[in-house]
Amino acid sequence: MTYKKLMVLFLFTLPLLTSCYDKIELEQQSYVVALGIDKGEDKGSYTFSFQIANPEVGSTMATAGSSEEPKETVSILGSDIITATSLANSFVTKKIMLDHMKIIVVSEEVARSEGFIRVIQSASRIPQIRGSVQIVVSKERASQFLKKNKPTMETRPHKYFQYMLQRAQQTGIIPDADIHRFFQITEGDADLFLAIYATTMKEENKTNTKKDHDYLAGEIPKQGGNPTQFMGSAVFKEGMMIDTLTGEDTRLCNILDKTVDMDELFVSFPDPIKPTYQVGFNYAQSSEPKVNINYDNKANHASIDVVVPFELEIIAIPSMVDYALNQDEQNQLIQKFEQTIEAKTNQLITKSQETYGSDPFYWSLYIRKFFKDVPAYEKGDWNKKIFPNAAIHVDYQLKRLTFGKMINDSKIEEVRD
Amino acid sequence: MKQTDTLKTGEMFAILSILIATRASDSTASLFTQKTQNAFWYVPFISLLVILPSLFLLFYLLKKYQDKHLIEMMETVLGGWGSKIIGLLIFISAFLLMGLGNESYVSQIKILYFPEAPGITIALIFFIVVYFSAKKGWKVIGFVSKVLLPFFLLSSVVLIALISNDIVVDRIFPFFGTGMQDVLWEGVRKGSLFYEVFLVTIAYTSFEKTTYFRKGVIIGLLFSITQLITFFFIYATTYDYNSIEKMSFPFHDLTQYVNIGSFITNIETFFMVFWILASFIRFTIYLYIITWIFASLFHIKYIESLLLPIGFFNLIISIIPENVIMNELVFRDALLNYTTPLLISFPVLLWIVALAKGDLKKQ
Amino acid sequence: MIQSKKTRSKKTNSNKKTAINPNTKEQIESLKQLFSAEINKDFCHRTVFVNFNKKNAYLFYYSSIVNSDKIEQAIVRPLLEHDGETYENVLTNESFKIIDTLEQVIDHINSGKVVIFSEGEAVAYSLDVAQFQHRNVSPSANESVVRGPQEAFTESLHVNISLIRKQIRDKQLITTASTVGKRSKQDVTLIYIADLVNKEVLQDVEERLRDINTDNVRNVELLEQFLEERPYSIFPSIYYTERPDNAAAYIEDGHIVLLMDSSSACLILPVTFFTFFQSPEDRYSRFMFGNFSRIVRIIGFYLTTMISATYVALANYHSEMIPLDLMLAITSSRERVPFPLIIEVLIMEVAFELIREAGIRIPSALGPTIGIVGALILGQAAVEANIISPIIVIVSALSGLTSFAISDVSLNYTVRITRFMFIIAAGFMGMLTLMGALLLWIMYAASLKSFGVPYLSPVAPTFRSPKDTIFRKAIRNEHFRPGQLRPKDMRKK
Repeated sequence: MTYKKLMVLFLFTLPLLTSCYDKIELEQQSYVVALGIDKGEDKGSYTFSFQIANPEVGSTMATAGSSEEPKETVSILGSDIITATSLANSFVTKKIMLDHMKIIVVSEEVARSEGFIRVIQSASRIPQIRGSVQIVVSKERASQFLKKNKPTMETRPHKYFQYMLQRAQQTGIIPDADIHRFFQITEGDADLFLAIYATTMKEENKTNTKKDHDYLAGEIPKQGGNPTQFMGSAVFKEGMMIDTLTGEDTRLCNILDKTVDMDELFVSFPDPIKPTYQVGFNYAQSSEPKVNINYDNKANHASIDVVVPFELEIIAIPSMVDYALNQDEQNQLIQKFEQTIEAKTNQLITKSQETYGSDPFYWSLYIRKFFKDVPAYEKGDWNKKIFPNAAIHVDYQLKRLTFGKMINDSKIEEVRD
Repeated sequence: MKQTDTLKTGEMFAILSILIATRASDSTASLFTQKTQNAFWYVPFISLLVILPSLFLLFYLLKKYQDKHLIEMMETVLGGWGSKIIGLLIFISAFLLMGLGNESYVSQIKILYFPEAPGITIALIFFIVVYFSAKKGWKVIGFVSKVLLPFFLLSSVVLIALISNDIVVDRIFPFFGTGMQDVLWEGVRKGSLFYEVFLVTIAYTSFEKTTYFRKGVIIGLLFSITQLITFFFIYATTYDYNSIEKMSFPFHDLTQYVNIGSFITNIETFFMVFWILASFIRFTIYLYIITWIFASLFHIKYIESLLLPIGFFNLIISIIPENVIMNELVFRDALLNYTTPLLISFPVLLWIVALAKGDLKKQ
Repeated sequence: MIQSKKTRSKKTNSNKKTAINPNTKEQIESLKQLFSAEINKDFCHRTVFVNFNKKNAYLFYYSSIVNSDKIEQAIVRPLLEHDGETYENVLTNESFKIIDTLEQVIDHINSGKVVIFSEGEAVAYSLDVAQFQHRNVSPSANESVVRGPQEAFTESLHVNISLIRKQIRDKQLITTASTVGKRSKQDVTLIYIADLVNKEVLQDVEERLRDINTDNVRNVELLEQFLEERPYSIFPSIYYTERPDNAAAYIEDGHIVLLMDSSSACLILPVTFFTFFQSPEDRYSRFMFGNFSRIVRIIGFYLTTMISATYVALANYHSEMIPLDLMLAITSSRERVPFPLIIEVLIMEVAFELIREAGIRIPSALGPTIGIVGALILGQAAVEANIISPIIVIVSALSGLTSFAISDVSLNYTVRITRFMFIIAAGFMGMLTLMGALLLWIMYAASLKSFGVPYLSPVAPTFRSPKDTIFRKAIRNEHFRPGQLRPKDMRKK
């Protein structure tokens, strides 16, 4: 072999031995599943908690790490996420990767502070953090939340978050709160952003006072399972948390917001004929709510008509009232349902008009077409001038009522005979 | 033997589509939003309208002076010196635009996928691939563009399908963005968005029939403007006007945001594969075209031998600007604005001279 | 320098024209000397007293390559018994020829003919009684099909031509011969349909055959390497097949087929990339079934060239793309592996190639062992010894096995070499360099030509064609011949 050939061979094998700039082996990385943000000791500093998945748990290699924890949670002080990762490397052995992060947990303390938007802003600058990461506000410190969260069914933490949030969002009790949406709404500077509200702490005293889904995280009376509860939402105005909404209110927001998809909703409400019992419904949003805005340019006043078409499937009638065949009773039931939900919606709208001064339904989209350009639109000022003074009328319209696969319940008197 | 490898409409269509439609994926969109906010999505259409009369005039002239490409035609009309000056102007602006574009692409790759690699390494890899591709000649470039175009289309269809759920059409309102005047003015100034259409007329005679060229350009132009507007529309409707303004690479933000179901969540690399291929080809075409213009300006026969020096100088230019945002918002913006009048005026000038000389009447 | 060599050899070639000596005695002696008759055992010379002109005739031939019965029947007996005017009348064999130079005499003896010298004549007579030994027609071993004719070419020109003629009964099906080789003259037979084939391609082929400047081209496998334009290219530019039905199909489209006496295969040219991609069975199966197997082959093609490289690129540079569950699984299995990932991949790929090579060379009695040893070493043991991680076994097994979906032997090599190039490219800078390598690969393929036909046609550049490239149309809807060949008659009727 000549010298030349040797050189060529050498050149070809060289890159195999050296590591090129961004080359990194899989086992040299730690995969962060969840990130927690807490207040640090001084102003402008934060405690970042990284929940890292342990690859050896759940793998088929029988001997490897079966006794280890499926995850490790480490906390470190820092001013922004990326510098915190490098600092964390003083005790985490591998390079910290944020690409597979599913959620960012923010403690309520941070969320209510002015600094929240600064921290999150820096997250959007790095390509590692995706727009689809969900924002969760925890009642307690985020590090505590992440440590206390011990799912028993899913060994791997990312699976837990994925399934948990997916299911809870389908039922509408928590909002869709990814970073992408956060920035669209916050930078749009017109509407309220809803983040997921969760906690691992249990509120003992409030348990029995509420009905149906009118709970906040931590209030749900339950036994067993993981202490973590995802319920309701945290309301953000201009990048700062101002309030919380219960699961039921969150559902209403999801119904009224056309940019959010919701699959199904199981609700129960008092039987109009036998008020001691509850009737169980499967609520389905058949099409987007129709929001009609009449905007008066001169007065800068808008009247908003909202029509929400929906479908109902009755799934439980413990009272045994014959709603299926008795038209009168059926009408009574429908009316009662519509009234109840309209009342609740109106209550929520009034609250947002008066207390929040803006809407969590992303309704500013509808007013836009009345303005010619952005300066005019910003001058019109949806969240300070138009929405709080708008006349809003909400109308729920039942499109279809079904009774599941059974026409009638068994006659209980005859059974008891 | 009779030639079996000739370029046809399909190749022209592919070349032009890759040249212009890939603009949808670079930072052109963010450049436009700076002055128009959420109205940027139809700005390309205004630009096209502005540039169209000159374009048709140029085509008319090319048709009149049969069997001559852009530079040859200019030489017949304007004579030696005049054509050299205008040709050089065209060459220099195209050369600078390519250099800046190159730099922008390199930084996109660096920022998004290879944060630790030095930019010069990426630029060098880019240069090597582009140079060796361009060396295969114009016809091969055409064939490969045509072979690969369906894949690019497929990937953009996939992207559109995946993002369609997150589109909120109401975000295009208020319709006139920063104001009607601003938007129109921006559209007019960015006529040079379609610079490439003028540049490819250098290849006018390389097709089996010149009708193939014209047909290809028109279909390609229609397609590209559709693609551009579709993508810009998607950017405008997925991002609110305040957010889009802050984004340097809306295409990549989009690919990072979408996911297939809940299992395959980070699929930007899938789109990046096609995007990189498309950008390689785009700069290959670009390099070949500007080298061609240069070669025919100075009557140099072997285009292939000029590729290396011109490509190399381009590499150097692309290394000079310090940061990508500056490059994009300052240099490229200014360059695009300054080349528009050139593009609009030179066909008119040619036409007037040709008319004065009486060349147009003879045929 | 090459040019001067060529002209010199041509000169010597044209100088060699010795007339036959009318003094037959002398002529015979010199001929015997030329063929070393004393030591060359199978060289025969006989003397026959001819009945019709009452003179001696001298027969020369190689006993090993002629049919001796035929000599008795068709030559010796007529000469001894029959009456007539001339040799032509007496010897009525169809291959009777009159030759007048010594070189021709030598050629004819070498190719299995009997050469007869008649006393006192300045010409010789030659009769073809050749009987070269060859196998019988047997089923195709390397290009087997489930559906379709089973017979393959065998090492006999006559049999092979008959196998083709059996399928194309066309008066325009021409078989012309040209000789190659300077020392040992071999016949190369070109088969084509005269009113379809493009004359320029034909001329080009004939010219290249004429320009071959070597002592001996023994078979088509060697001929291919003498004919092709780019000997260093990784893409084949001539199609090599052992199936007569395949050859017949291409002839009908206007291609040219080359056959030689000592090869059980033929060469088809000009071809495109898609020729290698297709298998004759795609056309024998029904529309749906044929296209289904084409889809499978596309997937196979993609997997075998790209999967290892994609894996390297993703795992080393774009790990965010891999779903987290899979990534954790890979990570946990890689924690004990002592090599970087790319070395791991290369170890397995090389091991697979080694097993494959060994499998071809191993005596068939030992065949089954290679499977057992290979599977054990590569699969179970290597993983358990923590030399490689389990996923690599899957990746390399996939890329190795799917390479068999590419049925053509030549393209198979292309694909395997390409795979290694891509793996190394992916190791440099992940997808960036991998895509760069892919683009250059495609660019190179697009710039190739096989006898004037662009390699990626009829896709790019476009031609009117039967649309049988990646997918095919229903056979009854195929109206055209491949336009890139510029056949004389475009329409299939």
